[in-house]
Amino acid sequence: MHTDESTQQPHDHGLAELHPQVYAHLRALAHRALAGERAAQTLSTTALVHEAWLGLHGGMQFESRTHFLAYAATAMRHILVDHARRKAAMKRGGDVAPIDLEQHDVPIERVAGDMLALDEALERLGSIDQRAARVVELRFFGGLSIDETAEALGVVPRTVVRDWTRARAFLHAALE
Amino acid sequence: MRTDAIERRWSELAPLFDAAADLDGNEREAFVGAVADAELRDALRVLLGAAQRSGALDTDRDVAAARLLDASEGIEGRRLGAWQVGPKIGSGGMATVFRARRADGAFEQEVAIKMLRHGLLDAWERERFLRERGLLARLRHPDIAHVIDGGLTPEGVPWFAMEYVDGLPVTAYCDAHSLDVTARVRLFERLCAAVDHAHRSLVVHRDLKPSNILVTADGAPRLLDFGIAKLIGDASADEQTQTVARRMTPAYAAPEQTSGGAITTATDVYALGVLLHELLTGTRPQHREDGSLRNPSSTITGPAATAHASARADTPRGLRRRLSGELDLIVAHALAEDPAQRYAGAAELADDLARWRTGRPIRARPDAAGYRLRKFAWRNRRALAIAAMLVLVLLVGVAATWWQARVARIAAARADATRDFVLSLFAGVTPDEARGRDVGARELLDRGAARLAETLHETPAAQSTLATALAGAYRQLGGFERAHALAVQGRDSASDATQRTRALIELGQIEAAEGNPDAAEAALREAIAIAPTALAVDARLRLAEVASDLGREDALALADEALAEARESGDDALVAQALGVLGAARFRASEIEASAEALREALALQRKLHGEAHTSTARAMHDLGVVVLQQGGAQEAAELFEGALGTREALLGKRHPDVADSRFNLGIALRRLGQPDRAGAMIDEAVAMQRELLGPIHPLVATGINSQAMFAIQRGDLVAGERLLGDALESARGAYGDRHSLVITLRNNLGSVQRALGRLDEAEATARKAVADATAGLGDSHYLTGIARFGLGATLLERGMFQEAATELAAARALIEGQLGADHADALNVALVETELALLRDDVDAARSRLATAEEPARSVPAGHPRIGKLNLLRARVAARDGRCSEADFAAAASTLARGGAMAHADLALARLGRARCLDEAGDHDQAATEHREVDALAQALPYVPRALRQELARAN
Repeated sequence: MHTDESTQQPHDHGLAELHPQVYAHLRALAHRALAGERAAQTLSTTALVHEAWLGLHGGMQFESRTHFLAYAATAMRHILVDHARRKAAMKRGGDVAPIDLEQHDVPIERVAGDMLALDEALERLGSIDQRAARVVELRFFGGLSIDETAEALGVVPRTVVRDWTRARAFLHAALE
Repeated sequence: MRTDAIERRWSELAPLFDAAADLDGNEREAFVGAVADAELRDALRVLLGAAQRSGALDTDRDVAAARLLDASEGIEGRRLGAWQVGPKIGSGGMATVFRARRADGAFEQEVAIKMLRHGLLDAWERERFLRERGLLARLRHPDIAHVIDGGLTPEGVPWFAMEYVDGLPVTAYCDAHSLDVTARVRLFERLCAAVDHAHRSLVVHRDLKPSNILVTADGAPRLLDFGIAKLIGDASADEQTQTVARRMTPAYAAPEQTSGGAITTATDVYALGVLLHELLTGTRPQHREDGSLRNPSSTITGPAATAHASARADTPRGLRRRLSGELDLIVAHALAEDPAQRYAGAAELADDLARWRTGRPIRARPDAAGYRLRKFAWRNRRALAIAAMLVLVLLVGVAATWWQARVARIAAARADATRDFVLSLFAGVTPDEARGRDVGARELLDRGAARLAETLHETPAAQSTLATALAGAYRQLGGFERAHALAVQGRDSASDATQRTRALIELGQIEAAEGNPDAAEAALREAIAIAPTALAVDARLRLAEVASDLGREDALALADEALAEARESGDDALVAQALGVLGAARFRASEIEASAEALREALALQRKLHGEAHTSTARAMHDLGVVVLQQGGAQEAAELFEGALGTREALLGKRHPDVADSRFNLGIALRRLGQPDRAGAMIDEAVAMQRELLGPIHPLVATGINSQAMFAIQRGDLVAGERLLGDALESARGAYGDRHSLVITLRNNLGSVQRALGRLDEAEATARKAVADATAGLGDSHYLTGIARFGLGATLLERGMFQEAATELAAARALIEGQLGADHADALNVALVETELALLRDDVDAARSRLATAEEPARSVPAGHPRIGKLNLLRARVAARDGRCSEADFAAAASTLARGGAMAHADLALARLGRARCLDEAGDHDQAATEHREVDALAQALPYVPRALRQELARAN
């Protein structure tokens, strides 16, 4: 799987075809969560995915909740990368006054760029250490716990911890 | 950092890293140092170092995610439509607001752009958004910030540009100027007027709160975001989980909003109540433990009381005294839990406040008879329906015209409001029923009808009126079967002439809508016969309508009469309706100019009476569009149809015969404007919907299929075109019989296609029948008779019966020129065929003179039109016969005809043949040969080679 930076089209890596409902549903949930009545505008992954699970379980074929969560994680990643790509590609107009940045207000292009870089590095990791990359996907994008990740991958939790540590090191190195 | 080495040697690196990571301090250093391979050792160091530091995976992904998913992030500096987006000036949960200014420099304009933080989900929602925002843009009131512009970004994110309002939230403004209670109430009344204006245009705010109500420096209030909350709310609703969008300001949310119930104008009243409470006391409404509301005046206690009071130029005690009693009651009334117990609208709330201010008795009294009745009804849910209906019936007895207007308004109101109205009648029936589900108008009407059946024996007096009213509502929503049954019920249970008349009028309208003109007429004539004066005009109007639909001769007279009576009655609404009916009748009588005149007046009057968002206005727009289209104004017609479609869809829902009607007409207009793809899609959609809603035998379905036939023909599929025309004809005949203008038109069309296919026997039979029916049904001076004769003439020409053809064509020309004018496009058609006939008879002089008469009508046809191509072709042919062969002229004609589709192929062949001959004459035999080959190819492909082409081909050899 390659990330394609030359176009602005969302690159859904086939998930959208495999499970369009999941994809669309999660996207919808993500948007709704943004619009929801939360004091801080954060996405609570667990709550989101839980909702998706409840909403979709009826119609979808998943062996277990964890199985579903695993798919959800990939979908989440794609969603965020889609948006990052779009945001990164946004061009500003000409004569605009310089925007005063508040202290913590990083320009969105930076946020997007970071996300894309992470995704790309994760791709590279995936080609040399598939399971570790998957661990990152599940934990970081899917918000799964160590135990849940272990269950999803069919390994013991210790393995997950090791994979995570290794992956984290690589990714940080790649992104520095 | 470059990680090539790391990646390359990962398989060795990984286990080393795992081991090293488990160690710490010196042990780790030793371990690393012990690695022999230098590259590996360095890589290991890098990895371990990176592991120590924090980085991307440690960040709060949720925060980044939220920003990435926020569609309004990074918009600053971008261009949205005509606007250059500037800095962000605020953000709420749903949307972000930016300053913006006009980008094209045409003039200076500052606006505020509000942009949803997330995009719309699918094409259906996008379409609905665009349609509804048109409705919003038409909402105009000096105290409501006008929505100037709006749209969707390419990614599907909705945005609005609104007037930029520089002001303080109303609460802050009042405090800053220490306005006393009276001044605050005055300001508040003004707000209510603005809200009421919007409500009458069927727009509910849904998110009224101080930050949405700004007051400028000169003390003028401006309401922001009217209706936007609904659009945004709709946009964010997730269909898959069927949730209702939550409001962002719970404090101002009415109980039914948080429980997912129906949003009505009463919802806005609640929000206004909260605002009033705040303006008067400085606090939000407070409730006791049992859920009941504390009196506003009693909230002026405690440490903050002095501050609140002095902001109102008073003392705590003084303020308490001022508020207790009537103002307490007014606020409480606005904040009632049950929507049905609140003020019905902002205007009523303002009215009570004005009464308080001027010392008159207020309406919100705890022991009012109405309140008692409502309370009684609340407790007895089954009896609620009866009680509410009784109240209506009692009021009905008071004023007939009020009743009519009310029924008309209810019936014509948007499906939501109808639902809301009915809901408010049945409010409190079962909380579970109302919560969470979006109950459709039809379902509620069904429930209403069911309830009606239940309560029959209990309230016979109300039965007829209610049945008729429900019938009207069903008719408006397109439920003709139910409507019919109810109208009959209304008629049969009538206890006096008035009730019976109303029921008959309704029945007449339903029969007409169902396509049963005779039954419609019967009902209406009876209505006229028994009608008390007040209703007589209405009955006459409806009858004139039906007569005009039938194409009957007395239609015009009836319509004129009805208009005269309407003007006499002084009722503007009746006058507007009468003008509409008159316009339609004139149109059918082919008095096009007069028709347009009447309809323009009708539209202006409807706009004045009801505003843009009303079905009567939509109807007037639609009808005017039809006439304008006939006059050749396709652009204006398209705009009119688009407007009518928008309003109708918003008010009546997507699946409604009137919506299909307007969409269909819009398709026709678009086709005339040269957008065949869009037009084709619209027409197909509209026809399918009409068929579904109205059944196969219906005049509208017939016209729809006719248009589909036109498309097929344009595509070159004449066979399909013939079949579709046959279908259309059957449908129309089933509804109207043979002698109706629509049926005749369809027959004319069918004859043309049969002629083009070379089925001359059938074509002649069809044409003759058309002429006979037209003469008998419409009269021998009607323009359609002229068109029928033109068709017959053209067919006779093909059969070689030249003399008879000439007679028919001459008659046709006289009729068309007389009825439609010598400059009408149809006059051109006749002149062209007459020219062709003359050429067939080798009478070049006659051809030339016929051609001369084509000049005038040709001016009203656009230059690239195939008809002009045919005109140029005939000019070139006549010139060639005169010995002036011009290859260039033939070529020019050919290029115009080439764009004319399948029906122009025969003429195209003629043009190229002419060119070939001129080239031969000039000695350019190679080019000529090419052209000849083209002609042969074209001729081979024709389903039938028309006489003119046959003759020319024969001459060539």
